[in-house]
Amino acid sequence: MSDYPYWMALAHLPNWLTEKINSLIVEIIQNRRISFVEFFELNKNEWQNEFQLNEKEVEDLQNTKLELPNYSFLAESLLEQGFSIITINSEEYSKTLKQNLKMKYSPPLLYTKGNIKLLNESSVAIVGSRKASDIALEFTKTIAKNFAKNYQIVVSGFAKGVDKTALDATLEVHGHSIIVLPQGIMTFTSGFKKYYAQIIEGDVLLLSTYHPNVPWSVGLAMGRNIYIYGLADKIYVAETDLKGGTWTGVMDGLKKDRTIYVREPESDEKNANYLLIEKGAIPVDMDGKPIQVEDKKYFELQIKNILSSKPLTAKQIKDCLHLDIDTLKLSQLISSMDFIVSEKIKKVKSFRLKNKKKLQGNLFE
Amino acid sequence: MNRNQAKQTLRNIFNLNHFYEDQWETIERISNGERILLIEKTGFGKSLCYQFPATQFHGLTVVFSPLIALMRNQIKYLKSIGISSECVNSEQEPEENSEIFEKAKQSKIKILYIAPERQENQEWLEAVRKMKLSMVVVDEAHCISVWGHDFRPAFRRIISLVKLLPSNFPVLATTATATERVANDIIAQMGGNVKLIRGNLLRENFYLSVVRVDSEEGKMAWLAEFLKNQNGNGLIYTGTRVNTDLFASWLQFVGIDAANYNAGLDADSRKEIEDGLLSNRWKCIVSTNALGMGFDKPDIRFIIHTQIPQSPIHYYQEIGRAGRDSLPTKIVLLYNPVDRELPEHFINNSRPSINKYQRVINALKQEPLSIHNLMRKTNLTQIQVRVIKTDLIDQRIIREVMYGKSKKYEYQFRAPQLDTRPFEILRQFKIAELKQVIEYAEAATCRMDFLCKYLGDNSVGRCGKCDNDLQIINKFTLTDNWKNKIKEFIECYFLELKVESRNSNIVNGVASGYYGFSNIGSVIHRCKYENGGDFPNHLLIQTLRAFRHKFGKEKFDLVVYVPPTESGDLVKNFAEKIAKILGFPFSNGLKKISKTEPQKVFENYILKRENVKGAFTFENSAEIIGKSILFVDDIFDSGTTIKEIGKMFTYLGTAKIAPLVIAKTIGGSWDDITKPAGLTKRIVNTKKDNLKIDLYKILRRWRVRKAKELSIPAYCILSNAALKNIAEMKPENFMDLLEIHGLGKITVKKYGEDILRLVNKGFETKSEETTKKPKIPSYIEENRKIYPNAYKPWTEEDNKKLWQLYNRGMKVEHLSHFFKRTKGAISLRINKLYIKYGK
Repeated sequence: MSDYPYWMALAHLPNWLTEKINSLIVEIIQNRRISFVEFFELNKNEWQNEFQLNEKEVEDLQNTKLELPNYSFLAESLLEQGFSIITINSEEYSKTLKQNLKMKYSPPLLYTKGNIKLLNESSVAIVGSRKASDIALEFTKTIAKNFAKNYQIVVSGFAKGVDKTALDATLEVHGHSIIVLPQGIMTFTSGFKKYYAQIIEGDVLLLSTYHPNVPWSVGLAMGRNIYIYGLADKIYVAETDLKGGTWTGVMDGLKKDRTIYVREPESDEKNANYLLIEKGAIPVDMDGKPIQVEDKKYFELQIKNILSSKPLTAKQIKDCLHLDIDTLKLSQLISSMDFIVSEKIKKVKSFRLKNKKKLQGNLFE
Repeated sequence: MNRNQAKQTLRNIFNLNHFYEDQWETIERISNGERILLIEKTGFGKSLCYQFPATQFHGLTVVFSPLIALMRNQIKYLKSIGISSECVNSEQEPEENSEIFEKAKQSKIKILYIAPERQENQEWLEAVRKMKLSMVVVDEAHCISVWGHDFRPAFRRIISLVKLLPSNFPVLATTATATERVANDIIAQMGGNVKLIRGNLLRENFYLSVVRVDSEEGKMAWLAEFLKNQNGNGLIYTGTRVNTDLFASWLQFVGIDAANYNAGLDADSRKEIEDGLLSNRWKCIVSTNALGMGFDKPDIRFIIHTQIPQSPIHYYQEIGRAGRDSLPTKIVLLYNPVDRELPEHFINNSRPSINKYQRVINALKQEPLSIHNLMRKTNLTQIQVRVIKTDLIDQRIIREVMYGKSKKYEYQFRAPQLDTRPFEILRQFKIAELKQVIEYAEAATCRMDFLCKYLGDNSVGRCGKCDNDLQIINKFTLTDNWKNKIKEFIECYFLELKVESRNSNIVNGVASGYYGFSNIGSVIHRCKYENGGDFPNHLLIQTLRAFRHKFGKEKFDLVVYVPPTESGDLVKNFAEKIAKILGFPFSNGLKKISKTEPQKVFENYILKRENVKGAFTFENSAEIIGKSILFVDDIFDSGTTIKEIGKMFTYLGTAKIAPLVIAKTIGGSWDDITKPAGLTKRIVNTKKDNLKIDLYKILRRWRVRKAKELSIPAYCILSNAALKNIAEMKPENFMDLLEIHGLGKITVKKYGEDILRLVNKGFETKSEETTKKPKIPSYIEENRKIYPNAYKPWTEEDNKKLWQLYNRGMKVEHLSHFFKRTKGAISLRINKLYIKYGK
């Protein structure tokens, strides 16, 4: 007898935070080592006392218990149509997702269609705005194809612009992709048809964390960004504005110490890529390769960053930045920068910023 | 609630006084959230086991039932005792079903009956999520098991559902017929943890007997005699749809109120017949096993099988509906040892060939397809596609996926290879079951004991009522009187062509006979494909008689014919003769305006319909406005051409279009493959592997003949390798031929017809080719004993004499005596002379 209906009932408890649901699941199956059937046979007091649930939560669980037969109907329909239901404790569940989102945000259930093995392969997400520039789309295409050829899974959100370009480029070279849906999986019928060949070939996995029947909405589209970032080992930003899903997602990633790569913008581009670099993202060239220290702009940015709090000597800068360069040469390079002022402190030549206004963020904190 | 309290409630709601032990045990366990498999004989009161608890539960009880007739009966009963219940089925309007879903969501219904197929319906799945559910019932649970007598694929999903339901959610599965193997299979499939409650199976009021007959005529005569002396009404089961019509027509012919019933009838007709049976409007219903299971009429006094069923379990189920009122009930099996050929044929051909499975798989590897598009892409019949998709879903090779509100089939990532071993295991199992039925028919011991033992009940011993226990030997011998009567019937038995539809002025027409019966088919074939000349006069006479039978003296304004694809002027000449004899104007005006392929190239009605869509017009449309048209063709197959032409005429303003054809094919449905009653038995035999014919040699001989005919070297027709491939692959149709290596489109077009005939009729071809002196058939010898001149050629002198005597007013019977020929032969000859000499 399968316990999918129990999982679904718990995963979709109304107004419960993911962390709360995950904690309860851990408590039931890991700490208490009881089955869901046994849990749902406990009475109100046992739920309250043994699982530290409040009145409201117990009431929610009682209502959910009545819906278990209904979830059985839904689960049957899903499984019969070839969808997979992947529980957070199963081997198939993406380890990357669990590691990135932890108990706080990892969805208890993944509804998928296609090759579930893709969930545990090395993966990248290429993100960016829906109205990205041609150069950003070009960048997306190039790196998506590169990753695909190197057997990396490209995680896509199936939005217009960068998402869609990354997906199409990947599939063009017969690469593998995970499409994270902004809707319930059963409602994505246009995609079933469009990506039919790739799904049955095992090149594409459709994935949704939402209730299977829920239709697309802006809220869900925003909400699924976290799972795109979560499913990827590496994140590449093609283009971002100062607001919107990409910006929020990437900032969130940076906060969580994720390594984020961003396309280095041209000088005349009006986007927030450069700002992202200043916030700590690693700039990459049009082929997705990290830009080396010798690269002037990046080097200047590092110097600006490191001198933002206090003046330092060339030797100190060299040590801080782990630079493999002659100290005298480094000193000459820094001296040539127009935003630098050199001065002698206790007979030692130190460098400081001309403009003393402190820069935001610190790449190496 | 204890038993006494429950008894009180039982009295109040159901007006019943007590529970049987098994009923109470079931109800008690159900109330405790257990899972039960209840096997009890028909009439035991299985329904009460869920209806009673359903009234006590707060929420809704969903009953999955495969039988619409049963749903209707149950709803009627439940409503009459004040229990809110409804059923949802495909024969109700969608709006009505939607309203019922709404009521169920608002908890206004206690019991909802629903067909298992509904589990594939998106609206139901959406709705059920919002219903407060208390119990699930699986009625006719033997349909779950392939080892049962009526496996239904839709139950597979019900089982998947049961496995997912919470373990303490009550589930009741009920059936009247399950062997131990079937019961164990049901329990295993339900995920174990199921309590089996099983009662005894003895039906004390049944008088079982087997009547030995020698022929189909014998069955017809026995039925006519039996029914004239039999009280009450009952059911007569035939093996095929075609025979329901034949036997019902025969019984009507001898003055017995009979109706025919089969799954091919529309819902309204079926309902009318069901209602008529309930109100005793007919003495008997002649039916396939589409009627009976779940039909609740307490006083069915007899059930007669004109054909052995596939297994003892089929038989027990089919007779189970009789005598629910416990009064004496006669159960008769008419048995002729050769009858095993039909069920054997069904068993051996229950699955299409493997290359057809591959055709479906290949189509679905390209794109997801609905069942109709799958038929389009594969050129397979609807039944073939249904069987194949069921097997492929079962083996997880494809899936049925909802695309919004429509269903499509998808090939699966990492799908396994098709495994044909289960098909063979099942075939062998069914053959073994068939042997058991023959054992039943030939048994010398108690028949009730035989059936009950087969179903796992060893408690009967001796019923004391069956023919064996009473030591009665039933053997029926056909008298000449009956033989003549049957012959008379066959001569005026014509086939109705059901083509009427709402948007067309076409009316149902008539065919003079079945293509595969007697020699009509071979005569038509010879004329069309072997330069046999015009359709012979006997076909003309037979068709004219069919016209008179159906349309009487009705006058038509115009006779038209279907423009030919292959038959040259055959149909035109035929239609012209008909017009001349009947005295109706004849027209060449019906024309084809676009190229069509011969309809026989297409296996299903969708492709046939598309092939002829918009292909016809009438030259002078003003000529036919408001007119009635008699529309002549040689063969009626799916009826798509006739229907298309009917639509075109309707559009042009014709008031009435009536089709008249020489022959009707039996149709694409396997259910329709049959034997002709009262005629030579010839089952369409496709057991090619078993026939051990050296098809290759036959093909080679054909090639030599063909090469001589065309004056070209044999290898120019087909290579040896290609012939070997044909012999290996045994193609069944043009699509199969095109898949064979060594055969191109041109070859198939030139010789396809011949090759298919050789492959499909290999056995007959062999005898044709190897037997130089054909033996005189037994029926000719029989007839000559009474009519020494039977089947001898007519001389010109005979003709003149006959015409003279006939015009003097001598009756056919006397003419028969005078000429020492059968009455049928005399009638035929008179008809011919009618054409020759006129009035």
